[in-house]
Amino acid sequence: MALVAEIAAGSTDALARLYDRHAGIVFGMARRILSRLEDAEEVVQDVFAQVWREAARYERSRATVAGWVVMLSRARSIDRLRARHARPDLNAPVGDDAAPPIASSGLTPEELTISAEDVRSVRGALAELPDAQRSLLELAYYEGLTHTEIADRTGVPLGTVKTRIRTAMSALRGVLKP
Amino acid sequence: MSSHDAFAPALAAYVLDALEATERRAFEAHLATCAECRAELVDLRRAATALAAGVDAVEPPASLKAKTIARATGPRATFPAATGRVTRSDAPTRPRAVLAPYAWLGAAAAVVCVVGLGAYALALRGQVATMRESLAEATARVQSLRAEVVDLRRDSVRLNHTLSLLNAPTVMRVDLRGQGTGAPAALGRAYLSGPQGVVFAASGLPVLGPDRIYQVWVFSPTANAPISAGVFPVNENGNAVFSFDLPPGGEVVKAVAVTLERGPNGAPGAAEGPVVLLGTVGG
Repeated sequence: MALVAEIAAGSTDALARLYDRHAGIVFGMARRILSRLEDAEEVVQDVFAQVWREAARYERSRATVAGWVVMLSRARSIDRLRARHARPDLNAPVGDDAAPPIASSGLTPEELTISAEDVRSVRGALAELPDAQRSLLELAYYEGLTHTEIADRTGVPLGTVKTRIRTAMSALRGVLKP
Repeated sequence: MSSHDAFAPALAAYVLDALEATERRAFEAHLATCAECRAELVDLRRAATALAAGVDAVEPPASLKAKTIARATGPRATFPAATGRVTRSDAPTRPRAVLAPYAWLGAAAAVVCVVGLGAYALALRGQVATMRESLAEATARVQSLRAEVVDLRRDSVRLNHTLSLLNAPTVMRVDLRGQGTGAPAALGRAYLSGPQGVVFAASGLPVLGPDRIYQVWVFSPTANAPISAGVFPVNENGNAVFSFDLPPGGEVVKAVAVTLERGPNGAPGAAEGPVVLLGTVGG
């Protein structure tokens, strides 16, 4: 029986095994995004609680677990980062959702299914990106900044930010096996 | 340019959650109608997933495992998982004959389930109440910040008004001196500019009890009685700075006086209290 199926069936032991297998990358992602150790530990707990809750639904989708878990990690980390940086927008009506939601937890199985080879290729492609592209991509990916915020933070014109991020993502996509 | 061409450049930013809220909503509306973008989205999201999976693993503190498992599987979190099981076990059908003798067991289980549900609903209600409280607190905070901003804006408008008045080419200065025994050492100064009103400052005035207030009067050559221009309090040092508009009929001023009146609104018609400051234009 697959690990996620066991978790869906309520096996605490299976969740512990999933933790052993993936906690490192979950914590790695959280630490990459959040500077505070306690925040990163909270993310680990959030992610595995979400896995426990959603395992049944997830099991039916037959996506790979690693992709799911790591994208949950990014989403929960960025949520926490944005919550920490959130400033009330005084012009917005109360209750308006100014910060875009992190869509990652709603990805389809196809989008979450990646091979070890894909991961290696994308890592390689990332390393080969020109610094100017990689740094902007990382601001979006690991700091959850919108491209307007990136332009403000770096002083790079907004149009250039958009172009560089697009070019960078195309390069990463280009190395994936179909 | 087709609608797809217009939106395609936003795809990468969308995948990274880097679009602004309004751009994101516009893009999602387009996405619903554009198969080409949806296909491209899948590829880009796979790249984003691979990028995430390529992050360096970091060994979490050893103590975190037990905490994480306990919290995930704790009383709050187990219920949704249990629901999943119930949903699935709805489907398989067993022969009725086998079930029937044990029907009371089902009933007992249902009772347990209902009691469990009740407890869960109670716990949930508690959580909702807590969240409502936090929301109310946050809302109150936002409202108080808004009020502060409104105050600041008002201050800034006032300051701009004062500056423009002081810089107006038609501005006139009136120096006021303390009168009588009430406030012999008091001094006042008014800058008058017909269309823009008056900036008034006073110092050395006696500090007032709660039922007293100072009232400013202007003397116009065209009016036969002083016209009230407003009331003002002083701070704990006997000082005051404020601005006011010249009252109708008092746009041309030959003298300014301050009297001590009953608070909080001052004398309704003519001055009733003693004059504490007086000054004339050119005097």
